[in-house]
This record gives sequence, C-alpha cells and structure tokens, in this order.
Amino acid sequence: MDSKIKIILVDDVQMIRYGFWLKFRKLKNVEIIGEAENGKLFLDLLTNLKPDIVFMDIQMPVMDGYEATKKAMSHNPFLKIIALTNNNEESTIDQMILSGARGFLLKSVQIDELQKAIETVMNGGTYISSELVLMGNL
Amino acid sequence: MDKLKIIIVDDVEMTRLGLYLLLDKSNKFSAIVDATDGGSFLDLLQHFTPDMVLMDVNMPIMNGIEATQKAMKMYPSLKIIALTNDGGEEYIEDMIAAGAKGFLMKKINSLELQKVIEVVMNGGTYFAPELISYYNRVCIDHSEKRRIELTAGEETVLNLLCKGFSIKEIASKLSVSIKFVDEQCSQLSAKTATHNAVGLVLFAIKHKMVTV
Repeated sequence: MDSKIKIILVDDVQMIRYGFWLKFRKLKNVEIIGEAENGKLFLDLLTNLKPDIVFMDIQMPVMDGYEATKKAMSHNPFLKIIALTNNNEESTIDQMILSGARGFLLKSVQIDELQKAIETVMNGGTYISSELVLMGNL
Repeated sequence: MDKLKIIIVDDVEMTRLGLYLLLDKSNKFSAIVDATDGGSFLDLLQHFTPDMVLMDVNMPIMNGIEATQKAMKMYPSLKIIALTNDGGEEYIEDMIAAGAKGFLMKKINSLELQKVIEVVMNGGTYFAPELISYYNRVCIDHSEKRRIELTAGEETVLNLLCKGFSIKEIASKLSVSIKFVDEQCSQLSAKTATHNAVGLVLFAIKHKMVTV
C-alpha cells in the first residue's frame, strides 16, 4: 500500500491555509505534515521535515515564494514545489519556474485540479493551471 | 475599507469559481476561501470568523438556511448574504428569519456584487429587486387566497352577521328557517377555520370579505 503524499503548506493568511486543508482533506492519498506563514519559517521547517510536495504562496512578508523556492531548491533539487497565486498578483510563471517550481495554481483551485496537479508533479511532470496561461501571466 | 476575508459556500464548482473570480477581480479581499457544503463551512467557522459569507441557499445534505442558522448561533454578528438561482425566491423569508443580511440572484454582475458587499459591511441590508417583486406578488397572492369561495346563501348570512343581526333575526329577514341559517354559519366556520360568530365576523372584516 502506498504511503500518503506528504505536503507542506506555505501561505501568510491562516484562513487560506485552512481553506486548503479543507480541500486536501477530501483527497484520500495526501497528508499535511506542516504549515508555515512565510518563506523563512518554511525553510526552518525543512530542516526537520521531508515533504513530497510544497504548496507555496508567492506574495508573503519576511521572505516571499520566489526566494523561498530558490533557497529550498538549492538545498534539495528534487523538492517539488507548486506555486499558488491570485490573479491580482504581479507574479509571473516563468519567474517561479526559473526558481525551480514544478507547478502553478490559482488559489481558487478546486479539488479535481488539485488532484491532477499532485499526480502530474509526483510523476515528474509540470502542471500549470490553464487559466493562468489564458490570463497572460506567461 | 480594509481588505476583507470572505467565505463562499456553494455545492456547484462553476459557481464557486465564478464567484471567486468576481470577488478577486475587485481586489477588495485579503482572503477568499470556498467551501463545498454547509458542514465544511461550519468547520471553517470553528477556527475563523470571516468578515462576510456568500451562502448558496439550495445545497444537498445541509442547505443554506440551516447553515446560516447554525453559523448565526456561533457568531450573531456574522454577515451572511444569500445567493440563489432562478426559482430560489421562495426561500427569501426563511433566509431572512435565519439572519441573512442580503439576498441576491447568482446572475449578479461584479460591480453590483461589490456594491452589495459594501452596503452589508456598513451594517445595511440588501435584497435584489427581482426578489422584492417576487415577494410582493406572493403576498398579494396569499391575500387573494383568503377570498374564499362562498355560496350565495353563505355570503348573504355573513353580511348580515357582520351588520350585527342575530341568527333568529337573519332567519326572519331572509324568510328561511333558523336551521338553514345555522347551516350557513357552520359552512362559513368550516371555510374560515373559525369557531364562533365573533371569530367569523373578525375574519371576514380582516380579509375584506365584507364591507362594514
């Protein structure tokens, strides 16, 4: 029996982290092993935890998603990071991909797409939400 | 107005996404979280108080009315705006009774939604114009239903009762038996669910069945 996919959630707004927890709860094969409210606290978590996938908000105080991704990837190039964004943010997909992210999702992502993104990334692929491509964030 | 935290509760994914994008476009929200059902929403409420909730009325397992009732018990000052598709207008009274501060159609556009949110955040209430006209129609229909069908005999007896005549006097006036007048009164009581002459007269006056 496969063990559950270990996830860390990084977002500065607690309500959003909890909203994602509600969604992950509906997926049978995942487990949230940690949460952080900024990039720096996330890097601290990484010293003790070994996640399979990290869901990383981009806009955060103290240390944002770009920097946290770059730093995390330099320690562990195999870490799978999926970026989270709202369409109001001045974020660009290519910037996050250059940092090392394997995926890019809107925070409004629903459960089915979340599952698809996790599966794709766990299998070594890249997943970019189609709405983001359409919105011209590339 | 500070950026707000809002929870969307709707069982249909396209609606959740649609509302999420409408709200996000406005750039007035620091956090938007969506829940697929009343149960998950109440779970969320155990940990957070949002500034506002957009609540679908028609949901399986736990509908918006029940979810609103339970949420308002936890947080009596919570601002919940009900949302419904065409056909959901009949729930307006229940949602208001449950504590909703607004009632909107889902086909609302982004600018209108923002306006309504602002009104409700400032302590006001808002009910979509389409719903108000539905509500008016319903109230008129209800009062029309009170215009109970009466036979000629019943109507005549009722009018005389309301003028203050006794059963004996009515029988005499109409040149009919007292038994006949009694029968009309029984029929009238049955049709109006009243139990005595006074009740009957009050009912008739209240529902404008007679002019006095």
